[in-house]
Amino acid sequence: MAKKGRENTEEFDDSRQNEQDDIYDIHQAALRERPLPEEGTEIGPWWLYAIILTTFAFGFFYAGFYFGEFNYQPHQLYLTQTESEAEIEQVELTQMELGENIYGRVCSTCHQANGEGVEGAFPTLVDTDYVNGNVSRFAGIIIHGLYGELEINGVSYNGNMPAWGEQISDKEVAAVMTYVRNSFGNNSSDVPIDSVKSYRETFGDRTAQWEVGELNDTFLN
Amino acid sequence: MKVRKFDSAAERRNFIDRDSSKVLLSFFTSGMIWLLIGSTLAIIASFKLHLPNFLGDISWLTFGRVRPLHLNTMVYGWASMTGAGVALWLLTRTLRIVIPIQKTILTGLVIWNIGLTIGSFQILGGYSRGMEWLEIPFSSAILMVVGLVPLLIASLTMLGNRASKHLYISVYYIIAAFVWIFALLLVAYVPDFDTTVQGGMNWWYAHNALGLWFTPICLAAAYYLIPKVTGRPIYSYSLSLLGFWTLALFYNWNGFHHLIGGPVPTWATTISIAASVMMIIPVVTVAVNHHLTVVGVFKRVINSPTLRFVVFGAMSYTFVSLQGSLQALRNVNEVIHFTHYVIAHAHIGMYAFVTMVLFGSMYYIMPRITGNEWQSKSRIKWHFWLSAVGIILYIVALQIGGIWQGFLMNDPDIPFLEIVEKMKPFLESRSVAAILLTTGHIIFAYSYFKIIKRDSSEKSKIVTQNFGD
Repeated sequence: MAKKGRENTEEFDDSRQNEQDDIYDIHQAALRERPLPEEGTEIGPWWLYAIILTTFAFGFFYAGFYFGEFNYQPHQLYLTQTESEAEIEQVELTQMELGENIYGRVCSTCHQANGEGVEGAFPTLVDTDYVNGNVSRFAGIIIHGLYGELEINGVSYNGNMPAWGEQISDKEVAAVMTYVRNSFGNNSSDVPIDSVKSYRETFGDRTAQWEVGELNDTFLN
Repeated sequence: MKVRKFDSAAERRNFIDRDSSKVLLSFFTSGMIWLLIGSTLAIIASFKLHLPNFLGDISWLTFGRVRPLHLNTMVYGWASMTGAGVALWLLTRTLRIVIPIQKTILTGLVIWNIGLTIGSFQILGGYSRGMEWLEIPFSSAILMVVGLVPLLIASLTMLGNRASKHLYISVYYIIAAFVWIFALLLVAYVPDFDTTVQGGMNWWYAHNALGLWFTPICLAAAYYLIPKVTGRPIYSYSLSLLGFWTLALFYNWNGFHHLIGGPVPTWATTISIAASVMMIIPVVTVAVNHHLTVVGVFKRVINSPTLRFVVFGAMSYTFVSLQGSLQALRNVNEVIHFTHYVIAHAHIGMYAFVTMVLFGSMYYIMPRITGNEWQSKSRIKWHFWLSAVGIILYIVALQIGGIWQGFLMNDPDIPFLEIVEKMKPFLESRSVAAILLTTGHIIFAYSYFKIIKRDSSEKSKIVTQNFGD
């Protein structure tokens, strides 16, 4: 490298700057410039290499340790690395705890945290037969969704509830039903997971959303 | 190609500098106008954060439009145009060759300016793409890309026809920057990404625009100007190369660290964090190389208008990069993500580093390409101190406030509005900083337009020459 640089020292050299400057009208700024010095060839202090090696080591260990699995799954690190599978399974939630969890995650956006819904759009879950009555009908609303106009305690609603059957398991459907039937002032029986399973067996082939009239005809007659 | 004979290096330099003056002045003047526009937008945006009703009734002056426009005018107007000018000048100097295809380059600059102007109105009108750094819609961004093409052609032609055999380190950085910016824009605008992948692409682009476009140009300027003004050789050529290649190797992995906690695969963020930490290697290498070059001649650095800015910038580069490596780590990111801290971090990069180096380079280049001298020492002084104090106030206020904000936000018992209220003094300090910085820019603009206007009075010829600038 030093040699390469030296070939050019002549061109970097300003010593031939001469008296004829005025002829070429060289201006002040160009004249007063120092030549660009040829680069040094030092190899650098030892601690620089220590820093480089340490950084390399840290980088590789970090990448290796937190790599996770090489797939499309988002953001699994915190689950797989901080708690083992076994630990997660050991935590057995009661039906009410699981139900409260699901309700907060899935249902409360529309039906509100207090279960009272929104007038005209999202039906209340308080003191209504849809919740406290026929268990299969309630499961059907959650699993396949519901649309159409209905009236509860003098208030009418015209909403469109999506089907949740694909997103939440039977166990979770039973849990959230139990939670709703025992919250917001409701006080009805727990829902065993078997009730949800028997609904799935009967209506397993169904893909359409329930319409209010059709729903009531199917379950109440 | 016609070979010209020169009696002295000074004569050759003079010839080349004067030959490039039209192109460079066009780039610098465009950049200067965008700088003033961008500064005004910055003040409006900053005041809105503590006076939310300020200009709140006019839809096209709402925060969501003014702040992205501030970013775009500064990035694609001020920093890119001035940076491109500085890069071209460095190539003429290090390769000892005049700028080719000057008319095409100038036409390109006009198209670029038109594209950015249309893009600005599109952003104000609400037609933003909604991605940070990529708000300008395809229709006008394509004009800016067209404006960049002649620069790539010119730089490669200059490299091919160069008169010097030895490749100074600045050449590596500049040629790489011109090639990389096209790769970045291609990925950002051509494929139709959506959802999570779009977010990933967005931050890959935004981070690389800083690291693979502005950083190389500014490092190239520092590598050239420091030895030029101090007369001391760059400490080590091998370390320069090590710094360049490790930057090239590690930088473009970094963008995903913006998505820590987001819905992207774990391995993607992890690799990005590791690469962000690896950035310590090029940064420390460059820092050692620069520091060991100026050690012992620091007085000259303080006295020289050029080096004052450039060395301030080079020191900020070290600081901002080490900070970046640290804050990419998950535990740190947990606190500072989504706080004012990150905004300040970005400004250390784009202002304390990039803008300061560009200011310093312009102080060196302007007397050479115009043949005039800077006419007021005190204006240079005021410009430097307003910029330096302004940006330091900005950084200290927002980073201290930001860290506090981060801890408060991580505590779910504290209501969000209470935190907003607590941040007010820090945001007000930012507005003070914005006014200081803008005042500095206005002073600089005044000096700039003074030096372009031909003035050959003897009195004006003594401002910077004592320092070898």
